[in-house]
Amino acid sequence: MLFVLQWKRLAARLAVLAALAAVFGLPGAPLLAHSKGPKTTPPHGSELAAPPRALGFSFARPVRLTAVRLYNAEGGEVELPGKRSIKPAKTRSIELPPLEAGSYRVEWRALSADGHPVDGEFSFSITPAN
Amino acid sequence: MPDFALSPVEAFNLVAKVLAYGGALAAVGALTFIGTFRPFLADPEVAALKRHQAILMAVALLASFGTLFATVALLNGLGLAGGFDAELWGLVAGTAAGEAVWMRALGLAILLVGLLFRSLWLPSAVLGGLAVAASFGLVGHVQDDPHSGLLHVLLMLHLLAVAYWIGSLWPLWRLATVPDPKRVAAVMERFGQLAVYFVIGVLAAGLVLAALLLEGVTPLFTTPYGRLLLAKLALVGILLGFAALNKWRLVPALAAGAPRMGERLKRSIALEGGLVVLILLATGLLTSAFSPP
Repeated sequence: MLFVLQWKRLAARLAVLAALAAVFGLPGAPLLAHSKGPKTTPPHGSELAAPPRALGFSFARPVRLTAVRLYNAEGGEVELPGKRSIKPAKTRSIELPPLEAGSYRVEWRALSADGHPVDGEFSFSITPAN
Repeated sequence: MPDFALSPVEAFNLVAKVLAYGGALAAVGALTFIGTFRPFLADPEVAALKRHQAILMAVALLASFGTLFATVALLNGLGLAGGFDAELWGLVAGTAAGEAVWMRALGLAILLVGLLFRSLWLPSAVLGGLAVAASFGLVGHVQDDPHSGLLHVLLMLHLLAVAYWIGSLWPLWRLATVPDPKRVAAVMERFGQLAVYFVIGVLAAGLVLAALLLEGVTPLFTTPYGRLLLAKLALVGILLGFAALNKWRLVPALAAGAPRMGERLKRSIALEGGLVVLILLATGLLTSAFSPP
Protein backbone atom coordinates (compact mmCIF):
# COMPACT_ATOMS: atom_id res chain seq x y z
CA MET A 1 0.00 0.00 0.00
CA LEU A 2 2.93 2.31 0.70
CA PHE A 3 3.98 1.79 -2.89
CA VAL A 4 0.51 2.87 -4.07
CA LEU A 5 0.54 6.04 -1.98
CA GLN A 6 4.03 7.01 -3.18
CA TRP A 7 3.01 6.31 -6.74
CA LYS A 8 -0.05 8.54 -6.38
CA ARG A 9 2.00 11.34 -4.85
CA LEU A 10 4.47 11.10 -7.71
CA ALA A 11 1.64 11.10 -10.26
CA ALA A 12 0.04 14.16 -8.63
CA ARG A 13 3.37 16.02 -8.82
CA LEU A 14 3.80 15.01 -12.43
CA ALA A 15 0.30 16.31 -13.17
CA VAL A 16 1.14 19.69 -11.63
CA LEU A 17 4.42 19.82 -13.57
CA ALA A 18 2.69 18.98 -16.85
CA ALA A 19 0.04 21.63 -16.21
CA LEU A 20 2.74 24.22 -15.48
CA ALA A 21 4.60 23.16 -18.62
CA ALA A 22 1.40 23.59 -20.59
CA VAL A 23 0.90 27.10 -19.27
CA PHE A 24 4.44 28.46 -19.06
CA GLY A 25 6.45 26.33 -21.45
CA LEU A 26 4.89 27.73 -24.57
CA PRO A 27 6.39 30.49 -26.61
CA GLY A 28 4.35 33.63 -27.05
CA ALA A 29 1.65 33.28 -29.65
CA PRO A 30 -1.27 35.38 -30.77
CA LEU A 31 -4.46 34.14 -29.18
CA LEU A 32 -6.68 34.91 -32.11
CA ALA A 33 -5.21 32.41 -34.49
CA HIS A 34 -5.84 32.02 -38.19
CA SER A 35 -5.10 35.72 -38.81
CA LYS A 36 -4.36 36.46 -42.42
CA GLY A 37 -3.31 40.08 -42.53
CA PRO A 38 -4.81 42.18 -45.32
CA LYS A 39 -3.00 44.77 -47.39
CA THR A 40 -4.11 48.12 -46.06
CA THR A 41 -4.13 51.68 -47.20
CA PRO A 42 -2.54 53.57 -45.70
CA PRO A 43 0.08 50.84 -45.19
CA HIS A 44 1.18 50.05 -41.64
CA GLY A 45 3.70 52.59 -40.36
CA SER A 46 3.23 55.05 -43.20
CA GLU A 47 3.82 58.78 -42.72
CA LEU A 48 1.42 60.81 -44.78
CA ALA A 49 1.72 64.43 -45.83
CA ALA A 50 -2.05 64.77 -46.20
CA PRO A 51 -4.93 63.09 -44.36
CA PRO A 52 -6.29 59.98 -46.11
CA ARG A 53 -9.92 60.07 -47.20
CA ALA A 54 -10.55 56.39 -46.60
CA LEU A 55 -9.13 53.23 -45.07
CA GLY A 56 -8.62 50.42 -47.56
CA PHE A 57 -8.53 46.67 -46.85
CA SER A 58 -7.56 44.03 -49.38
CA PHE A 59 -7.84 40.39 -48.24
CA ALA A 60 -6.64 37.30 -50.10
CA ARG A 61 -10.12 35.72 -49.81
CA PRO A 62 -13.55 37.26 -49.19
CA VAL A 63 -14.11 38.11 -45.51
CA ARG A 64 -16.87 39.82 -43.57
CA LEU A 65 -15.40 42.91 -41.96
CA THR A 66 -17.34 43.16 -38.72
CA ALA A 67 -15.61 46.03 -36.91
CA VAL A 68 -13.20 48.82 -37.83
CA ARG A 69 -12.17 51.35 -35.18
CA LEU A 70 -9.83 54.31 -35.45
CA TYR A 71 -7.98 55.71 -32.43
CA ASN A 72 -5.92 58.92 -32.19
CA ALA A 73 -2.58 59.26 -30.40
CA GLU A 74 -4.33 59.88 -27.07
CA GLY A 75 -6.29 56.66 -27.46
CA GLY A 76 -9.58 58.43 -28.14
CA GLU A 77 -11.85 56.74 -30.68
CA VAL A 78 -12.50 58.72 -33.86
CA GLU A 79 -16.05 58.13 -35.03
CA LEU A 80 -16.29 56.79 -38.57
CA PRO A 81 -19.16 58.20 -40.62
CA GLY A 82 -20.06 55.11 -42.70
CA LYS A 83 -22.43 52.30 -41.77
CA ARG A 84 -21.10 48.81 -41.03
CA SER A 85 -21.44 46.31 -43.84
CA ILE A 86 -20.82 42.65 -43.04
CA LYS A 87 -21.28 41.33 -46.58
CA PRO A 88 -18.37 39.14 -47.74
CA ALA A 89 -15.84 41.02 -49.86
CA LYS A 90 -12.16 40.83 -50.73
CA THR A 91 -11.73 44.59 -50.69
CA ARG A 92 -13.37 47.21 -48.53
CA SER A 93 -13.04 50.95 -48.28
CA ILE A 94 -14.07 52.72 -45.06
CA GLU A 95 -14.78 56.41 -45.37
CA LEU A 96 -12.86 58.66 -42.97
CA PRO A 97 -13.83 62.01 -41.43
CA PRO A 98 -11.34 64.92 -41.86
CA LEU A 99 -8.33 63.97 -39.75
CA GLU A 100 -5.93 66.32 -37.98
CA ALA A 101 -2.17 65.86 -37.97
CA GLY A 102 -1.00 63.16 -35.57
CA SER A 103 -0.70 59.42 -35.13
CA TYR A 104 -3.57 57.02 -35.62
CA ARG A 105 -4.15 53.35 -34.94
CA VAL A 106 -6.73 51.20 -36.72
CA GLU A 107 -8.17 48.03 -35.19
CA TRP A 108 -10.20 45.65 -37.32
CA ARG A 109 -12.13 42.43 -36.80
CA ALA A 110 -13.49 40.08 -39.43
CA LEU A 111 -15.03 36.67 -40.00
CA SER A 112 -12.67 34.88 -42.34
CA ALA A 113 -13.71 32.77 -45.33
CA ASP A 114 -13.21 29.58 -43.27
CA GLY A 115 -15.48 30.88 -40.49
CA HIS A 116 -12.84 31.90 -37.94
CA PRO A 117 -12.81 35.31 -36.24
CA VAL A 118 -9.64 37.15 -37.29
CA ASP A 119 -8.31 40.49 -36.16
CA GLY A 120 -5.47 42.91 -36.69
CA GLU A 121 -4.33 46.46 -36.39
CA PHE A 122 -2.15 48.95 -38.20
CA SER A 123 -1.06 52.52 -37.64
CA PHE A 124 -0.15 55.60 -39.64
CA SER A 125 0.67 59.19 -38.96
CA ILE A 126 -0.14 62.48 -40.67
CA THR A 127 2.62 65.07 -40.78
CA PRO A 128 1.81 68.15 -42.90
CA ALA A 129 4.56 68.94 -45.45
CA ASN A 130 5.22 72.55 -44.31
CA MET B 1 6.75 34.04 -18.89
CA PRO B 2 5.14 33.86 -22.28
CA ASP B 3 3.90 37.12 -23.70
CA PHE B 4 0.38 35.97 -24.37
CA ALA B 5 -2.51 36.79 -22.12
CA LEU B 6 -6.16 35.97 -22.40
CA SER B 7 -8.53 38.89 -22.79
CA PRO B 8 -11.82 38.55 -20.86
CA VAL B 9 -13.59 37.49 -24.08
CA GLU B 10 -10.93 34.89 -24.90
CA ALA B 11 -11.02 33.56 -21.33
CA PHE B 12 -14.83 33.39 -21.53
CA ASN B 13 -14.56 31.57 -24.86
CA LEU B 14 -12.09 29.06 -23.44
CA VAL B 15 -14.23 28.32 -20.38
CA ALA B 16 -17.37 28.03 -22.54
CA LYS B 17 -15.56 25.64 -24.91
CA VAL B 18 -14.33 23.45 -22.07
CA LEU B 19 -17.82 23.30 -20.54
CA ALA B 20 -19.40 22.60 -23.94
CA TYR B 21 -16.87 19.86 -24.80
CA GLY B 22 -16.83 18.33 -21.35
CA GLY B 23 -20.56 18.65 -20.65
CA ALA B 24 -21.77 17.26 -23.97
CA LEU B 25 -19.30 14.37 -24.09
CA ALA B 26 -19.81 13.50 -20.42
CA ALA B 27 -23.59 13.51 -21.00
CA VAL B 28 -23.15 10.92 -23.78
CA GLY B 29 -20.94 8.85 -21.49
CA ALA B 30 -23.28 9.20 -18.51
CA LEU B 31 -26.27 7.87 -20.49
CA THR B 32 -24.12 4.99 -21.75
CA PHE B 33 -23.01 4.26 -18.19
CA ILE B 34 -26.56 4.28 -16.82
CA GLY B 35 -27.72 1.96 -19.61
CA THR B 36 -24.77 -0.42 -19.32
CA PHE B 37 -24.67 -0.71 -15.53
CA ARG B 38 -28.37 -0.38 -14.65
CA PRO B 39 -28.56 -4.03 -13.41
CA PHE B 40 -25.87 -3.16 -10.83
CA LEU B 41 -27.47 0.10 -9.67
CA ALA B 42 -30.12 0.81 -7.03
CA ASP B 43 -33.05 3.00 -8.06
CA PRO B 44 -31.91 6.06 -6.03
CA GLU B 45 -28.47 5.76 -7.68
CA VAL B 46 -30.04 5.69 -11.15
CA ALA B 47 -32.14 8.75 -10.23
CA ALA B 48 -29.02 10.62 -9.05
CA LEU B 49 -27.12 9.71 -12.22
CA LYS B 50 -30.03 10.87 -14.36
CA ARG B 51 -30.09 14.22 -12.54
CA HIS B 52 -26.34 14.44 -13.12
CA GLN B 53 -26.81 13.74 -16.84
CA ALA B 54 -29.56 16.37 -17.08
CA ILE B 55 -27.26 18.96 -15.48
CA LEU B 56 -24.45 18.05 -17.88
CA MET B 57 -26.78 18.49 -20.84
CA ALA B 58 -28.00 21.87 -19.61
CA VAL B 59 -24.42 23.05 -19.01
CA ALA B 60 -23.36 21.82 -22.46
CA LEU B 61 -26.23 23.62 -24.16
CA LEU B 62 -25.69 26.90 -22.31
CA ALA B 63 -21.93 26.73 -22.82
CA SER B 64 -22.37 26.03 -26.53
CA PHE B 65 -24.39 29.22 -26.88
CA GLY B 66 -21.70 30.84 -24.74
CA THR B 67 -19.15 29.99 -27.43
CA LEU B 68 -21.35 31.78 -30.00
CA PHE B 69 -21.64 34.75 -27.63
CA ALA B 70 -17.84 34.84 -27.37
CA THR B 71 -17.49 34.64 -31.17
CA VAL B 72 -19.85 37.59 -31.58
CA ALA B 73 -17.88 39.51 -28.93
CA LEU B 74 -14.59 38.67 -30.69
CA LEU B 75 -16.00 39.90 -33.99
CA ASN B 76 -17.19 43.10 -32.36
CA GLY B 77 -14.03 43.97 -30.46
CA LEU B 78 -15.91 45.69 -27.66
CA GLY B 79 -15.18 43.21 -24.90
CA LEU B 80 -17.91 41.02 -23.43
CA ALA B 81 -20.48 43.78 -23.97
CA GLY B 82 -19.96 43.26 -27.70
CA GLY B 83 -21.55 39.82 -27.45
CA PHE B 84 -25.07 41.27 -27.56
CA ASP B 85 -24.90 42.50 -31.17
CA ALA B 86 -28.02 41.13 -32.88
CA GLU B 87 -26.70 41.59 -36.43
CA LEU B 88 -23.54 39.63 -35.65
CA TRP B 89 -25.57 36.90 -33.88
CA GLY B 90 -27.44 36.48 -37.16
CA LEU B 91 -24.14 36.23 -39.00
CA VAL B 92 -22.49 33.77 -36.57
CA ALA B 93 -25.60 31.55 -36.33
CA GLY B 94 -25.25 30.84 -40.06
CA THR B 95 -21.55 29.97 -39.92
CA ALA B 96 -20.03 26.55 -39.27
CA ALA B 97 -19.75 27.54 -35.58
CA GLY B 98 -23.50 28.18 -35.49
CA GLU B 99 -24.29 24.95 -37.33
CA ALA B 100 -22.10 23.07 -34.85
CA VAL B 101 -24.16 24.40 -31.95
CA TRP B 102 -27.45 23.41 -33.64
CA MET B 103 -26.03 19.94 -34.32
CA ARG B 104 -24.91 19.63 -30.68
CA ALA B 105 -28.33 20.80 -29.47
CA LEU B 106 -29.91 18.09 -31.66
CA GLY B 107 -27.55 15.50 -30.15
CA LEU B 108 -28.44 16.64 -26.63
CA ALA B 109 -32.16 16.46 -27.47
CA ILE B 110 -31.69 12.85 -28.64
CA LEU B 111 -29.87 12.07 -25.38
CA LEU B 112 -32.83 13.53 -23.51
CA VAL B 113 -35.08 10.94 -25.16
CA GLY B 114 -32.82 8.18 -23.80
CA LEU B 115 -32.91 9.83 -20.39
CA LEU B 116 -36.71 9.90 -20.33
CA PHE B 117 -37.46 6.53 -21.95
CA ARG B 118 -35.46 3.68 -20.48
CA SER B 119 -36.01 1.32 -23.41
CA LEU B 120 -34.52 3.83 -25.86
CA TRP B 121 -31.23 4.44 -24.07
CA LEU B 122 -29.05 2.55 -26.57
CA PRO B 123 -30.26 4.13 -29.86
CA SER B 124 -30.39 7.45 -28.06
CA ALA B 125 -26.80 7.12 -26.80
CA VAL B 126 -25.55 6.01 -30.22
CA LEU B 127 -27.38 8.63 -32.31
CA GLY B 128 -27.00 11.42 -29.74
CA GLY B 129 -23.33 10.53 -29.32
CA LEU B 130 -22.74 10.62 -33.07
CA ALA B 131 -24.48 14.00 -33.39
CA VAL B 132 -22.52 15.46 -30.46
CA ALA B 133 -19.22 14.09 -31.80
CA ALA B 134 -20.01 15.30 -35.33
CA SER B 135 -20.74 18.79 -34.00
CA PHE B 136 -17.15 19.15 -32.84
CA GLY B 137 -15.91 18.23 -36.31
CA LEU B 138 -17.95 20.97 -38.01
CA VAL B 139 -15.49 23.60 -36.83
CA GLY B 140 -11.78 23.53 -36.27
CA HIS B 141 -8.67 22.31 -37.92
CA VAL B 142 -10.07 19.08 -39.38
CA GLN B 143 -12.12 21.25 -41.76
CA ASP B 144 -9.09 22.86 -43.36
CA ASP B 145 -7.02 19.71 -43.82
CA PRO B 146 -6.66 17.82 -47.11
CA HIS B 147 -7.44 14.55 -45.24
CA SER B 148 -10.69 16.05 -43.97
CA GLY B 149 -12.87 12.93 -44.47
CA LEU B 150 -10.52 10.59 -42.64
CA LEU B 151 -9.93 13.19 -39.91
CA HIS B 152 -13.67 13.50 -39.29
CA VAL B 153 -14.02 9.75 -38.79
CA LEU B 154 -11.00 9.63 -36.48
CA LEU B 155 -12.21 12.65 -34.52
CA MET B 156 -15.63 11.07 -33.99
CA LEU B 157 -14.07 7.80 -32.85
CA HIS B 158 -11.73 9.71 -30.52
CA LEU B 159 -14.56 11.81 -29.07
CA LEU B 160 -16.95 8.88 -28.54
CA ALA B 161 -14.25 6.99 -26.67
CA VAL B 162 -13.45 10.13 -24.63
CA ALA B 163 -17.19 10.55 -23.94
CA TYR B 164 -17.52 7.08 -22.47
CA TRP B 165 -14.41 7.58 -20.34
CA ILE B 166 -15.16 10.99 -18.88
CA GLY B 167 -18.89 10.35 -18.61
CA SER B 168 -18.19 7.39 -16.35
CA LEU B 169 -15.94 9.26 -13.93
CA TRP B 170 -18.63 10.95 -11.83
CA PRO B 171 -20.82 7.81 -11.60
CA LEU B 172 -17.77 5.77 -10.56
CA TRP B 173 -16.68 8.45 -8.10
CA ARG B 174 -20.14 8.45 -6.58
CA LEU B 175 -20.29 4.65 -6.38
CA ALA B 176 -16.81 4.22 -4.91
CA THR B 177 -17.89 4.65 -1.29
CA VAL B 178 -21.27 2.93 -1.48
CA PRO B 179 -21.37 0.51 1.52
CA ASP B 180 -21.43 -2.58 -0.69
CA PRO B 181 -17.82 -3.13 -1.79
CA LYS B 182 -18.59 -6.36 -3.66
CA ARG B 183 -21.16 -4.66 -5.90
CA VAL B 184 -18.92 -1.61 -6.39
CA ALA B 185 -15.96 -3.82 -7.26
CA ALA B 186 -18.12 -5.71 -9.78
CA VAL B 187 -19.07 -2.43 -11.50
CA MET B 188 -15.48 -1.20 -11.48
CA GLU B 189 -14.14 -4.48 -12.82
CA ARG B 190 -16.68 -4.51 -15.65
CA PHE B 191 -15.89 -0.87 -16.40
CA GLY B 192 -12.18 -1.67 -16.42
CA GLN B 193 -12.75 -4.45 -18.97
CA LEU B 194 -14.72 -2.16 -21.28
CA ALA B 195 -12.36 0.77 -20.72
CA VAL B 196 -9.47 -1.11 -22.33
CA TYR B 197 -11.23 -0.83 -25.71
CA PHE B 198 -12.09 2.81 -25.19
CA VAL B 199 -8.58 3.72 -24.11
CA ILE B 200 -7.22 2.04 -27.22
CA GLY B 201 -9.78 4.00 -29.27
CA VAL B 202 -8.86 7.32 -27.64
CA LEU B 203 -5.13 6.79 -28.09
CA ALA B 204 -5.13 5.25 -31.57
CA ALA B 205 -7.52 7.79 -33.08
CA GLY B 206 -5.92 10.70 -31.21
CA LEU B 207 -2.37 9.80 -32.26
CA VAL B 208 -3.29 9.30 -35.94
CA LEU B 209 -5.23 12.59 -35.86
CA ALA B 210 -2.24 14.38 -34.37
CA ALA B 211 0.16 12.83 -36.90
CA LEU B 212 -2.06 13.89 -39.83
CA LEU B 213 -2.63 17.41 -38.50
CA LEU B 214 1.03 17.94 -37.67
CA GLU B 215 2.37 16.23 -40.80
CA GLY B 216 5.24 14.57 -38.93
CA VAL B 217 6.90 14.36 -35.55
CA THR B 218 9.26 17.35 -35.74
CA PRO B 219 6.51 20.00 -35.46
CA LEU B 220 5.61 18.41 -32.12
CA PHE B 221 8.75 20.01 -30.71
CA THR B 222 9.18 23.04 -32.92
CA THR B 223 5.74 24.68 -33.05
CA PRO B 224 3.54 26.15 -30.30
CA TYR B 225 0.69 23.85 -31.43
CA GLY B 226 2.95 20.81 -31.24
CA ARG B 227 4.30 21.70 -27.81
CA LEU B 228 0.84 22.25 -26.39
CA LEU B 229 -0.20 18.91 -27.91
CA LEU B 230 2.83 17.35 -26.22
CA ALA B 231 1.73 18.83 -22.88
CA LYS B 232 -1.76 17.40 -23.49
CA LEU B 233 -0.24 13.99 -24.26
CA ALA B 234 1.78 14.16 -21.04
CA LEU B 235 -1.44 14.82 -19.11
CA VAL B 236 -3.12 11.90 -20.92
CA GLY B 237 -0.15 9.72 -19.96
CA ILE B 238 -0.62 10.60 -16.29
CA LEU B 239 -4.36 10.00 -16.61
CA LEU B 240 -3.62 6.54 -17.99
CA GLY B 241 -1.36 5.97 -15.00
CA PHE B 242 -4.26 6.66 -12.65
CA ALA B 243 -6.59 4.46 -14.70
CA ALA B 244 -4.03 1.64 -14.52
CA LEU B 245 -3.62 2.18 -10.78
CA ASN B 246 -7.38 1.89 -10.29
CA LYS B 247 -7.78 -1.14 -12.55
CA TRP B 248 -4.87 -3.23 -11.37
CA ARG B 249 -4.40 -2.20 -7.72
CA LEU B 250 -7.26 -0.34 -6.09
CA VAL B 251 -10.22 -2.24 -7.59
CA PRO B 252 -8.74 -5.71 -6.85
CA ALA B 253 -7.96 -4.50 -3.31
CA LEU B 254 -11.56 -3.28 -2.96
CA ALA B 255 -12.86 -6.61 -4.23
CA ALA B 256 -10.64 -8.38 -1.67
CA GLY B 257 -12.22 -6.32 1.11
CA ALA B 258 -9.20 -4.14 1.97
CA PRO B 259 -10.21 -1.40 4.44
CA ARG B 260 -10.83 2.22 3.31
CA MET B 261 -10.19 1.24 -0.29
CA GLY B 262 -13.42 2.96 -1.42
CA GLU B 263 -12.10 6.32 -0.17
CA ARG B 264 -8.77 5.79 -1.93
CA LEU B 265 -10.53 4.87 -5.12
CA LYS B 266 -12.71 7.95 -4.80
CA ARG B 267 -9.65 10.20 -4.40
CA SER B 268 -7.94 8.57 -7.36
CA ILE B 269 -11.04 9.06 -9.56
CA ALA B 270 -11.29 12.69 -8.39
CA LEU B 271 -7.66 13.22 -9.49
CA GLU B 272 -8.56 11.65 -12.84
CA GLY B 273 -11.39 14.19 -13.08
CA GLY B 274 -8.97 17.05 -12.36
CA LEU B 275 -6.66 15.79 -15.09
CA VAL B 276 -9.58 15.58 -17.51
CA VAL B 277 -10.34 19.27 -16.83
CA LEU B 278 -6.69 20.16 -17.59
CA ILE B 279 -6.79 18.05 -20.77
CA LEU B 280 -10.00 19.79 -21.87
CA LEU B 281 -8.38 23.17 -21.19
CA ALA B 282 -5.40 22.18 -23.34
CA THR B 283 -7.82 20.99 -26.04
CA GLY B 284 -9.75 24.27 -25.84
CA LEU B 285 -6.50 26.16 -26.39
CA LEU B 286 -5.44 23.83 -29.21
CA THR B 287 -8.71 24.36 -31.04
CA SER B 288 -8.89 28.12 -30.63
CA ALA B 289 -5.59 29.78 -29.90
CA PHE B 290 -3.15 27.74 -31.94
CA SER B 291 -3.04 26.38 -35.46
CA PRO B 292 -1.26 23.29 -36.74
CA PRO B 293 1.81 24.19 -38.80
